[in-house]
Amino acid sequence: MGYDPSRAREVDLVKVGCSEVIPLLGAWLDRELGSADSARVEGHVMECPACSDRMALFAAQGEALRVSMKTRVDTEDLSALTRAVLAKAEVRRRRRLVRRPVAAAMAVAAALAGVTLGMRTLWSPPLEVEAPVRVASIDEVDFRGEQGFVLQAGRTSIIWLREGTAR
Amino acid sequence: MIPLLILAAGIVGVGTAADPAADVPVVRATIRAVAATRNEAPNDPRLSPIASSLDDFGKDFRYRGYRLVGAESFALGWRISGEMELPGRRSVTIAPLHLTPDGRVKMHLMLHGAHPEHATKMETDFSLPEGATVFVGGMRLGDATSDSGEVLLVGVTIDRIPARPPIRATDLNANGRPPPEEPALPPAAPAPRPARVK
Repeated sequence: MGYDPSRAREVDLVKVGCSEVIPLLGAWLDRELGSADSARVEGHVMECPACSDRMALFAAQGEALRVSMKTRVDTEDLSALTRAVLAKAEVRRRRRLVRRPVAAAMAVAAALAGVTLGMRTLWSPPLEVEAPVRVASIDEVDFRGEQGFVLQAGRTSIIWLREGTAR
Repeated sequence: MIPLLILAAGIVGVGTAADPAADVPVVRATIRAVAATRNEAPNDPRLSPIASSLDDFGKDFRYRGYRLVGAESFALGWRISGEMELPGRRSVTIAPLHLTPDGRVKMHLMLHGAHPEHATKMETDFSLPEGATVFVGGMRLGDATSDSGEVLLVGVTIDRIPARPPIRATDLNANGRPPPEEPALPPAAPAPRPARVK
């Protein structure tokens, strides 16, 4: 768990400015910020434990990605890739030649459909887009040695603790 | 009379202008401690705000009656925790962590055991949209010797999610990065000399 309640007050003292600084952290780590923004971010990170943690996490993630990609590139055999791409392009070119008359007919049909749809849009009110159903979700549970389970029922999430089952 | 009215209007005006709570981005959440029983019992009308969530709960668990034992509402800043005492000398702590990209609130919850140890019995992170509820249940209501057959159900409902802070157009480009600094203007070209007339 990444949250330490004992630091909540401490974090609250410096939370002003976090929302402005967080989007810039990645760019700051990549050294892509101008001098003014860079100084602003650096000053905030020095004072704010939460943003300092975030910055450390970003840096660790970036490093892990770099190492992972380098390992893959070093071990991967890419010699067949060029041949495969060229072969695929050739197949597509032949298909295009064969399908030209069909494509022309389809273009006419699409144009007609477009005109029809355009007329419909012109004469009828726009359809309402249904909002997505948003539900509660459990991201992580630590039962601290007890038994328990998580259940999703409709929009409601349920965490069930079997009290007294700790070993 | 008129000076009094002016004074009152001034006080109201100052109060409105200086109200710092109006702009503070707080998450409003309510914790409800509910006693659930398997016996047929009329539902507590005070539980009407979470009636649909209790219906969802009742589809999978064989509890038929619900009674509100306690409720507390909180207005919490990010990573500020609120605590509520529960029956059986337990307590629960919640803290909003951050807004998720889809507009929900990620919350942290800790359930503490009975006095005097108050050991953490369970800890969880969950994401909630406005109006939705998460239940933590399974604890016996009261102490181990009581035989009421009721189970404690702790419901956490998000009543209000603060608006996402606006990002100024000049701060970030479409790729999420700040725009590059504007290059310095080239030095002004010297004024053309008037042509000599021979």
